[in-house]
Amino acid sequence: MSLNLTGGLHNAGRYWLFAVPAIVVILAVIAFPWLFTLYASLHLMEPTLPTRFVGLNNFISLFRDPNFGWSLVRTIYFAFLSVVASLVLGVFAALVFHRQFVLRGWARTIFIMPMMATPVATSLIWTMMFHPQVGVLNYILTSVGLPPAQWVSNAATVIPTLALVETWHWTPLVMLIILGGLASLPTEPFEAAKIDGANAVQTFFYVTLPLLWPFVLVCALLRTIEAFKAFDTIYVITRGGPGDASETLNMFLYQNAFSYFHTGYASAVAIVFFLVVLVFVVLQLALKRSAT
Amino acid sequence: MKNETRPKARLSRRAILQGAAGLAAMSALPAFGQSGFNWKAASGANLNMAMQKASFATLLEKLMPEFTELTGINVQFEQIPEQQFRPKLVMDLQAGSGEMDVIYISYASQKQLLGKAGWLEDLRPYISDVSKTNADFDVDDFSPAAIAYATQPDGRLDSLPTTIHYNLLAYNKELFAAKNLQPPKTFDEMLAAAKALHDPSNNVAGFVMRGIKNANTSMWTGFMLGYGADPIDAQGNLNTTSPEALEAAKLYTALDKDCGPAGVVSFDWPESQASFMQGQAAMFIDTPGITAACNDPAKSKVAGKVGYVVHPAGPKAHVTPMLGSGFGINKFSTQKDAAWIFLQWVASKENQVKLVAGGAGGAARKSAYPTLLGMSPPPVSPEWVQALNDSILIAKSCIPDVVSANEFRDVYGIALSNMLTGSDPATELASATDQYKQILAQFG
Repeated sequence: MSLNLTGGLHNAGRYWLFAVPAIVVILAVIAFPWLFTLYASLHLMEPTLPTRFVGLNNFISLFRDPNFGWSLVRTIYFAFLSVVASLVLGVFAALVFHRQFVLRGWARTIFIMPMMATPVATSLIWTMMFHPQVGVLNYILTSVGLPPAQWVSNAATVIPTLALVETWHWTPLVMLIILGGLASLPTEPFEAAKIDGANAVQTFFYVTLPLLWPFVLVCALLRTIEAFKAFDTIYVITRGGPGDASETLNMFLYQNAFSYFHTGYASAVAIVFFLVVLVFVVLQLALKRSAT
Repeated sequence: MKNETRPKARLSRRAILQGAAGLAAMSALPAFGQSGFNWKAASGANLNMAMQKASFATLLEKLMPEFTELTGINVQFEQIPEQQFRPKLVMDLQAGSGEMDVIYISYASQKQLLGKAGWLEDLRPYISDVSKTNADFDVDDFSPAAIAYATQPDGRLDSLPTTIHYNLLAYNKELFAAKNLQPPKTFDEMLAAAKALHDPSNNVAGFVMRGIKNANTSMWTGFMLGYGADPIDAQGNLNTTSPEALEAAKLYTALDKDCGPAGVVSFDWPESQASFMQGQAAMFIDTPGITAACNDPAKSKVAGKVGYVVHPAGPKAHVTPMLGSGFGINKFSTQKDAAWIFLQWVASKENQVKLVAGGAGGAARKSAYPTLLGMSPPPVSPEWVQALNDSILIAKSCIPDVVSANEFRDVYGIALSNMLTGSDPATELASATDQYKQILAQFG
């Protein structure tokens, strides 16, 4: 059978047909929801009222809504605590697991277990552990002579407590990425530092960390996006409470969309939420570019 | 008290015997009634329905084969957690979907929303059609409060009430006996008992009830009714900064904050129930299905020591706050007649008795209580049944009949939670009212 080059070129005009299924799927699952969200954000959409175009009114109401402002502040606070804590602990854990010691493989496996667990299931267990009367955490505290803590029952401690759960869940991911980074680092700078008489702390801050920085920034980027999107943990443990002390942007969005059915208003929240995450991601990417 | 002349629904021996005889007669009825109604009229139909997860849903799932045997109708039945079920229901109906033929509706959060949107069939033509309705249906057997609760403002009855959640007071008899106290009949007695029994050093709270936002609102509005005010009056004005609202908020905080367990602000009903069932709270106000479980030896450490009384009286009125739920027919369903047969069965006298006997909730039919109290041995605590029966004539909905009922519960729920963590009740109520006033004006 001989290859017909003329025929091959002639068929090139029909190759796009092979991409049609993928284009249709992308339009259906990505483009359509986005365009519909944009459309809804410009309309008043209520179950009991006729849908009507309201221009940018939903966005104006949103920026006048103090609940939205506070939920944004809480989201940033929660994201900051959980990202910083998981980065610090993840880097430390990676340094520990990078060393050789007995049963290292087993220890690594146990360490990454929280990451593999379903967030809703683990959040239910945390909820029971945080119970002020019958929870195991307060039992431990009181057993060693400390006063019981309020955990998620206090407006001042609820966000740090939720960040603790998020940190427990996602530190293993940071550890895995940093561990991969450590394995790929060149050995010469460490040998040079040793010859120059640098101690462990100096080696970490002046050699290891600068070399690891691109990996740390990747982790920070992934963790920031995840922390902003956190929903299941907060929903299961506090449902935004006590009061509205842990009502983050995602909770605020959920309430408006699925509890009050303000579809237009909730769509405006979704768009602003997307832009907020985008700003943080762009900032971090710029930081990464300047670091490398 | 304003309503001292209200009749008290004590059960007579005659009423009990009549109820029992009625139930026995009903179970002996043939498939064809005198009206020409036929339970098998829609035999072979397939109905779809879903319910939020609850003990009532579990009970119904068990009873479903009986329905299929009686009617020849198959039911695809699904239980979905409450937080997912409610949005799914509204989204399906908003899309004009007839997927669910039978609709389970929670009056406190969805009645006006579904009613205003007109998504449910008006049941009055069905009830009056003798060819479609069993002669034994007996609409007058439903308590007037339950029918009023299910009726829309325009007069349509678009659901049959089945489960009426009368708030009851459960108390720990052992703790009361130790202090030589009697179960409270009034708000003042309730607060005095809570103070006397509050013993944090021994990990015993004088009182426990819902503290988490949204779930806590019905506790406060329930007290407000006892002080003689509705949250929203007949003219649509908010009463939520009135002296009555403030007194109710003060009572709520005095009980749940000053005499409640640590961290009560994050307690929904399961945490409150757990606290009471562990013997760590002396009194507990909640709905029938939730308080009934406190006497279950398999679940509760205080089983056998739990007493039940009707919701205590306020200084101006004796009202039992109620929430409730029922079943309607989806306007978009293609099997409305089969759905109506299901509604008659689910709200039948026999199933109402089974609902209460299973401890799954309060019945909407009056006849259920005398029937139950006539049973020997009693299938469930007679004290609990008596408290439910005593609630029928003094029951009143405690969440306003508005489209924005969920926002009402959230906005005031946050205010109440803030009070539990130390905020001033008057300031919180004023701030919540400012916020909710705008929502009410915009969405009704």
